[in-house]
Amino acid sequence: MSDGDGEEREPMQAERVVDRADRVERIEHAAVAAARAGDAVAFAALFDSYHGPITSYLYRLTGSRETADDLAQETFIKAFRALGRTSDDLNFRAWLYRIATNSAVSWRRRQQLLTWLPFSRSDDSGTPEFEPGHDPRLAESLAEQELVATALRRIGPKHASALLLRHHLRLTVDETAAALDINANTAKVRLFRARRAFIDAYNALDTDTNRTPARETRS
Amino acid sequence: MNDACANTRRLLSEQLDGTLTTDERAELRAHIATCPNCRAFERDLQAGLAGIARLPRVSGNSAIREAVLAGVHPGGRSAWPRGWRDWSGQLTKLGGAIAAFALVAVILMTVFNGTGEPDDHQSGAIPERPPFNIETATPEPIPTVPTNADIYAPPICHPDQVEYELQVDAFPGDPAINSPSFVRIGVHAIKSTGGMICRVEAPVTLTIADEAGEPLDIQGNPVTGIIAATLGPGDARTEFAWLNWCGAQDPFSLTAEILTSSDSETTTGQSTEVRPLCDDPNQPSILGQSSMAEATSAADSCQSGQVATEANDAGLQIWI
Repeated sequence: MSDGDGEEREPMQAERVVDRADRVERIEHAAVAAARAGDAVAFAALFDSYHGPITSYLYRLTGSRETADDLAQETFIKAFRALGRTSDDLNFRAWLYRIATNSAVSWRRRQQLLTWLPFSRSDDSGTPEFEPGHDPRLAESLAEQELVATALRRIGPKHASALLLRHHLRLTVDETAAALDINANTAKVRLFRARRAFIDAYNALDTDTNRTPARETRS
Repeated sequence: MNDACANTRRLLSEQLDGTLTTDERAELRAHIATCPNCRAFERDLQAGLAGIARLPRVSGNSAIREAVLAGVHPGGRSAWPRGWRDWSGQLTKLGGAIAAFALVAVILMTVFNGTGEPDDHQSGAIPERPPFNIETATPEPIPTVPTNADIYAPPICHPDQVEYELQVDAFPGDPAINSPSFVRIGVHAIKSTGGMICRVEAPVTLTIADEAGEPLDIQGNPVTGIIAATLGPGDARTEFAWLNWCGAQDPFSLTAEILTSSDSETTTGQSTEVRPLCDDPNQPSILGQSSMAEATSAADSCQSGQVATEANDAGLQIWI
């Protein structure tokens, strides 16, 4: 189809990446503007963009698929209701994760009120259905994933949310700060503490795991 | 850990956020080169954070999608009652809490009546309370919030009563927001039901085809939606929208197809050519479908016994 000089028209890799990012941002901005104006189709498109990532984030924060689904639903309903009151320069992604984070924090408070009951049951509904296309050959072993997930739970939601936003969902530092409702400098400090706590928890778990057979042998 | 090591760990963290100066980077590398503990920490940090990045993502629950989008109406209005959300999980736990409080109350009253026996005649006592267990702790099911569909759904049209004409329109977003790559696709099913008020739930298949009519790959995105609406004398509509469409780059047309009768006869409609833009081949294309269909006017849908609607608002006719 192309009869021109491919090299002349081929932009540099870095330029292409920047160009793509700009265009994706423009598209999302347009969709957000349309959704803010009440366009239900645009909101549906935004929902489809973020439903999986938001559910993933909430699942990693709560450890429960059922709770993650409930909180994702709550997040999007709140977002739709509040979108019309937001400003044109809204960073939709960070704003949506902030709503999700607040929902998770509220959920945790409710949980803490109920955890004293001897009758409470674990609401962990088991292994969730992972996104199609995820290639298990490229992932760490299940045991490794479990170590990472357990270490994240050990360090608490304040630190885990920062690490998940920055390293799992790849938000920028500024977006992470906005999602956590803190300023950028505070976000950097929190990320530093979270990384340190995570490595400590991860190494402790790794050590425990490796020692378990020996302990069992001794006992 | 000495001060130099503590400072190095701070710098390692800041390096991940791209905030190191050239001098700080040099200072970091110089220390790492001579300190095995900090080298090990750097290795652990890289491996641990890579593990977080590689954690599998879960996919969204389709039931949640339906529940959320069923409440989204044009114009920014929502159909969810204020304060509504699915509290079923929490209510189960809350029921457990209430039952546990009740159990404690029973025990306390049993103790304080001085006999050690429950007193059924004493005012305020709870007689013959069965022993606590999970089943009795679960409260009566709280009715879910009924949807408009539950209340107002008219009978489903017999397929032979309905005739369709499909119009497929693809147009590049709203010029007011200058977004040529945000494409909306409207599929309008104009139908005739002989004046009957009935409801249709007919699958609409949206196909993307090249100029020769050959279907194009849409990268695993759903291309089948359900158009469903109360069919008065007006029409019904479903809409799709996509972002970042990364199929073939040549212009293409859209074809919609709807099953129109019990003998599998179909009606199709075709759009003019469109050329959406691929913004990032590494990201999935997003083809979203509006979860609503609407009649063309209030007069079409507002019948005796049904809920009144605002002019040009048939948002209650949703059965997806």
